[in-house]
Amino acid sequence: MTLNSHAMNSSVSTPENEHERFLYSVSHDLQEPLRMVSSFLKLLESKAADQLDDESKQYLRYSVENAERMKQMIHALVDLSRVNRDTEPPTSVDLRVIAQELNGMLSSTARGAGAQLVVPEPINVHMAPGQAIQLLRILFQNAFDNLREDAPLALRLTAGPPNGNTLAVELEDNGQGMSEQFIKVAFDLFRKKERNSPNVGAGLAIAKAIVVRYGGEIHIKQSKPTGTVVSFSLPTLGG
Amino acid sequence: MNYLKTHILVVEDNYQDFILFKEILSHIRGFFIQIDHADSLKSACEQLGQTHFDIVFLDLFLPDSFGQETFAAVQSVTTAPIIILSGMSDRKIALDIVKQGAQDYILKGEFDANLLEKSIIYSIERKKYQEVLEESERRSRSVFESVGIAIAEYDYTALIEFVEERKAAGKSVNDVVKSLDLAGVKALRSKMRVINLNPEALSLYNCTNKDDFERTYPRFYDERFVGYYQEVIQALWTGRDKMVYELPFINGEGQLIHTLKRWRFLGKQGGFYRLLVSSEDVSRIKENEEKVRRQSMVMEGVAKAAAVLLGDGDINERINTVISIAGEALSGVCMSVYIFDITNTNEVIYKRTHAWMPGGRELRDAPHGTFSDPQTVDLSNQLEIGEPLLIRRNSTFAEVNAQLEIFRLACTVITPFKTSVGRGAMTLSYSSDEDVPDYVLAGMKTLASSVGSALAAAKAQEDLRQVNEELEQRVDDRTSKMQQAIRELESFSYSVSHDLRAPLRTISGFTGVLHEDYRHKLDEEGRHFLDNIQKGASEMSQLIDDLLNFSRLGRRRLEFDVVPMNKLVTDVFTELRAHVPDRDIVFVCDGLHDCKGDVAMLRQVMVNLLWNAIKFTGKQQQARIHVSSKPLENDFIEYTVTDNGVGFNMQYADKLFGVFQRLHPHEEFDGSGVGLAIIQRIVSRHGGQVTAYGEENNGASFYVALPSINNLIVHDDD
Repeated sequence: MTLNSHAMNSSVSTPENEHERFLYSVSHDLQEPLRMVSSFLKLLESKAADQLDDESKQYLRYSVENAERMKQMIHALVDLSRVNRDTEPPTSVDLRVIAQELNGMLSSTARGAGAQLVVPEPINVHMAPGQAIQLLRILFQNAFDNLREDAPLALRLTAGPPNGNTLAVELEDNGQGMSEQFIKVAFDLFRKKERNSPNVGAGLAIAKAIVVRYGGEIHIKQSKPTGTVVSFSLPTLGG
Repeated sequence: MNYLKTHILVVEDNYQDFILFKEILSHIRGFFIQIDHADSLKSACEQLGQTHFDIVFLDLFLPDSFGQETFAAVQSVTTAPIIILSGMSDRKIALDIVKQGAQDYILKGEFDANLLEKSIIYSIERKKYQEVLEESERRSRSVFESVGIAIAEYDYTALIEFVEERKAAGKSVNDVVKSLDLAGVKALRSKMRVINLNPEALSLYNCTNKDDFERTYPRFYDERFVGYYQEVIQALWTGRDKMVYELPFINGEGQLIHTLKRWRFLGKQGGFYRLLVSSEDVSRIKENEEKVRRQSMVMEGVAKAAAVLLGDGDINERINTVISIAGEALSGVCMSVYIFDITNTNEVIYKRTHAWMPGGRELRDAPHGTFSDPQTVDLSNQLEIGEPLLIRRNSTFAEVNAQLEIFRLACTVITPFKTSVGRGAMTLSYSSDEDVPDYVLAGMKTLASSVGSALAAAKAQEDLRQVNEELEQRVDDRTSKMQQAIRELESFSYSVSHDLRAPLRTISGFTGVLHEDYRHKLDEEGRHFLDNIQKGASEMSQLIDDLLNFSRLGRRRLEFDVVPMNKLVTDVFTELRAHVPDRDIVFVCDGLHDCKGDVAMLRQVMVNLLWNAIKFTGKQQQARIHVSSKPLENDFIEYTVTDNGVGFNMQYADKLFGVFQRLHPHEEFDGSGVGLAIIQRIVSRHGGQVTAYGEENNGASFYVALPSINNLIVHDDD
């Protein structure tokens, strides 16, 4: 009886734990059968070369592609579950430095060539440097993925005057922009702007999780005449 | 308030939980904390006996005690406030225990330093208010017990009912009175409840306590009482509130005693009709009848006034009643209550909060002011010492003199009291310059001190009410936050499961086609590859199904019906049995009690429980599965499913019910591990509980408590 009640006492978890545990379980428990499926699909594909016809080879190709997609989704879940488990201590981080670094990297590709970044002032926020990089990388990658073919990408990263310990930051681009409809769900997990996009649609969900972790908010709106403005708030001091 | 150093005892048998708790406590910045640890009730009691602690955090489930017993045991050895450390599933027990005197409860894993700090401060404060309240009740009671005459307090509801019934039947008072005989009197008396007896009453009747008194009084009841009760009935019939008679009787020591009995019908107070019967030994005090009459009137007035202070209701109304009763009993012409500010010894700032004059007259002067006379020092000293001060007109205290002049008063008795709201005094004034006897001073003193404690109690009660309100608010906030989090979790897991299914469907679909149409074209190795792909895909699919299932559970509305458990369990088992035709399973189901719940959901619970039992007995030559039930207190039925399977280590019991927690390696036992989480979810939505007990390689038992068919309160968390 004592032991029985004992078990009752410890069979407890809060929704917050459960959320983390859910992400963790999904990302880990699914990985194992998925690895099996993927590797056997590839083995079968190599074997199929001489045993199967074109149609069945095509089916196998689809299956391999979907297994790959699932793998990406699960990786995205792992990334998402890591946001709140991150143990790197927050410190003062200048977003301007990170932005310039990212822009240098992304504009060195053929597609991104000629991209212009303007950051008028240093933007000092207080967060884990790794997460600051992750956040900006997601936003910059999005901007580069959505640039217009007819005009070089122009990016502008600015910060308003601090409000207490909070800094409002804005990243504006002149890219293809987003529909109002998509803006509503842009931060939901696995939402993609285009159906055939190679991305799994987890970037903005992760970006949001990072901002929320620091007590901030993140929003997207259309920019005139074209493009988007992502605005988010971050702390300037350790809370 | 000194919170600078707080000594805390954490009673928690799970060492890791303790370490975590300690870590969080160490983040409290408001005050220094010294933390001691006890991992059993025994150790907790020992430490509490040796050391003073400011606060105790208590896990109710310890190796040597659990639940309410743990709380009762700890409460009996310490006066420190106790905060319950509770898990989600024992929240109800924790709430009950808060009602029984614990100061707060905290959900494990759901608090931070900030919450803990507040909880600690609130708990210490709250405990203090309670002590002030208890102290003042004790003091009021002691007034009741020290008035020098025997007083018995009764509930006379039975008499009122007797009169009302006969009135309603249209009888006349004379007929009713005439028909009363000794048997009828005894029957009436036996229906009256004795509420309280003061020590004088006990000694008068030679009894040790109330029960003793109830046993012995019939000895005194003879034909004379028929007359007394006739008068009582007449009094009540006509709405009189008092009656007096003399009663000579032989006490337990064989002495003849003349007592003067006074019955005071106080009407309905605190939920019952309250009767005070005072008995005065008149044989002892015949010599000075006038003095005695007056003294007994004073004593009775004081006792009655003190009884008013014991009651409920608005404190100011009670004090007004007190001074009107006492003022009349003490034959004064004015009785008031003052609150003073004596911070500066050269002046006394006064504020009159209550005043009484005979015939409902009112004092017209300003109810507040300042004394700054050279004599003020005497007054403030006297207020400090707490002894009555008699000031006559023409004394050297000019400012008081002036006041006495205005009202044509001859003298005033200032009787100080101390209270949490400041220094105060009761004043009683006379218009003639009389000798104020000692018993008046004594009566004033007891009344003043009980007014002081009643004021403190009212303040404490108000503060406690506020603290309680805040506490309730916090409990509500936490509960709604929790529900919000659960809803978010569900919608999140739903959309994730949903999204993951899309690519999986494609894989299953295409490999299914390959299996159907191209299997024969593949060599053995190729077929082996294909089998493995399909196996992996179906495993993932199962996992995702379970997830969806779990996330849906929280959203469906429950339909409550009587559930025929015995049939449900045998049906479910028969179905499951068909999946494992080769196994040797002995299944025993003892005529189970019915319960109340959602049939479909409870079926799911039993499917999961029984399938678990079948699964984890897979390695036994002969599996044994036993289902039984027994009624619990509070209208719940406990169902027990016991098997002789691989069991589990109790160390991991906390992991059992999480989504996807598996205690056994994948290859050995199939299934995704969501099953127990589903069970727990359903059962908790029924207001019940699931517990598990196991031993490694020695079977497992699952206990599920569900509402019985008599259970009226059906609780749905969402």
